Amino acid sequence: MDIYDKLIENPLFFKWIYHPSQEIDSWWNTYLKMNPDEADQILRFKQSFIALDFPHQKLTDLEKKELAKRIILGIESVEKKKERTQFLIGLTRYAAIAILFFSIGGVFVYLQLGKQNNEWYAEETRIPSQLEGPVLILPEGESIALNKKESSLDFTNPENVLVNDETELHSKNEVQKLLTNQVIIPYGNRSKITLSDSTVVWLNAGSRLVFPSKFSGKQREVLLFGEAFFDVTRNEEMPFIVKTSSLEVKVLGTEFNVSAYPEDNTVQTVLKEGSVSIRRNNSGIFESDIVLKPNQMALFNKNTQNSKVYNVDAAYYTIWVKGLLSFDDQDFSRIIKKIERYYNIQIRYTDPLVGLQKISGKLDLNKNLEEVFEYLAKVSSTEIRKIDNNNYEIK
Amino acid sequence: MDCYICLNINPENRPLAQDARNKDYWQLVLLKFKTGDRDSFEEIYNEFADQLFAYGAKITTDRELLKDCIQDLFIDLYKYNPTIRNAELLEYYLYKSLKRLIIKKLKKDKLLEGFGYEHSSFDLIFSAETDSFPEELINEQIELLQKALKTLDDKKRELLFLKFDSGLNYNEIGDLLDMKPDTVKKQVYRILQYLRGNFGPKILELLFMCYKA
Repeated sequence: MDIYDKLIENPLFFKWIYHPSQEIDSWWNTYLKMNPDEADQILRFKQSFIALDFPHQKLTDLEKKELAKRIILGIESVEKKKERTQFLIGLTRYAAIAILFFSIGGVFVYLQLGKQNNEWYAEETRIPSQLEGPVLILPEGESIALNKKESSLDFTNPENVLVNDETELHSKNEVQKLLTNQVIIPYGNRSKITLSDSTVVWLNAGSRLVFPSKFSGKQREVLLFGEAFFDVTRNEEMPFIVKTSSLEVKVLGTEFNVSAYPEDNTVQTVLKEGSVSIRRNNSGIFESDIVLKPNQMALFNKNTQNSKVYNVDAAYYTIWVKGLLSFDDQDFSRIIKKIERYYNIQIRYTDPLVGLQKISGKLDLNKNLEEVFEYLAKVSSTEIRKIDNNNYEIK
Repeated sequence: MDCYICLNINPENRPLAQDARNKDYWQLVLLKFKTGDRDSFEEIYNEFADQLFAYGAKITTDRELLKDCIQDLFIDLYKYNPTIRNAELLEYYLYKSLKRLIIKKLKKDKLLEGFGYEHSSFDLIFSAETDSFPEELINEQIELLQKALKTLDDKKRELLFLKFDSGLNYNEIGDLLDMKPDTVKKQVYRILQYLRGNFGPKILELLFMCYKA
């Protein structure tokens, strides 16, 4: 691709010619300054577009404002209609809670029974509570503190690993590269890890990822406890496999989210793009894999060992990568669990029924806890009180 | 919902929508718009209204009809939660829906008069084709270009307009015009080859190739 092709493929180039504005001009001025060797060609190429200029019909400023006003009024009237139907939905919600109230006894019995087939490694895969902060544990057992709430690791070049964008590790030993590293991210922290094949993994709070410095063999395998979002680099020769305590997710190249916290009763796989197949550990020969399409979620129940597939909006499940938490008609208790993990706090219920209600909304977890709680209290019509530093209570 | 907490959008450093690196930013704006947030509506509106109006004006000269269509376009975007899973497709959605809305309205209004979009033309005229183009700039190359431009049909004019005036990619333009993405790309390159600076005998050859094909 030469410079002209590059310009033709860049919509910002045409915007600069046909819709000049302060923003776009300053964007290009910066670009030209940073790439002085291209500047001459770019400017000349731009100049040659005089002949291909064409008249634009424009909205006047007044027209533009009036039109905006009309649209806002239109949206508001849609909103009013929505509210009316939501009131009715709200009423049915109370009925749903009443039904849940009567079935809760059954659920408790059920959960107790399920606990008997405890996973053997659930204990050792819990995040050690004495852990001070996020760490990288090298094959030799040496551990390196990542020292940041939002840390990053880059294994693109296994001989020169970047920790928080700075060179930290040199490994010349070929064998060592094939051994596995472990990243442990305690609650209240997150990390972005770039693997040797350029696959990017966002590791959520309270999670652990085990992976080799360099992939080899027929498969790229990583082990996950907790939640991570994967953007997998395509390689058909070498499928990428995420192993969890109860199932395996196999992909060629795609974007998806896996949530497999040892303390959760379910393993959740949500596909954003591409395709993945999911296989239960110790599955029988005749059991076929589950294949997900984009915007589908497979929910594996550890007790029944069964999976169900739902159609969802993947954006809701992957937005935590940006520090946002989005939920649409989800159990309040599940949201509370996520917040506990994210901020590393404990939240108690004075009334356990509160956790059963369904709520919708969006949270920015980059904000401070007070603001997040204020919002949560509003959408759930509850009160959230601070008991001490790490303990809160919901009324 | 009347309350939400989300990233604060600072209009001072609003990133350019066509800059692929701002995917996440526009994703957020779109999400916020869906919750009924007025600021993010204005964000989307300010970014695309002029562009969309310019496009619509090439299909119909009726400004009021066009404004009505743009109004419906944004209300639909809010109301129907269309399948824009990611913000990258937002621009494509807006162009495609606007075109559909205009044609629908034109057909409805002009049913009695007996003509619709099929018979109206995509009104795109380049400077080189107009009388106002400075004569002192007209040289052999410009003359060739003028000739070439005259052979363009409406579809190809619309194609060039979309390439120059929007951030849509070849797949999206192809979809809008019911053409193969490859054909779209070839067409763009044929015309732009001319402008690539390497004026010379090559140009004749290229133009010959383009417009015979």
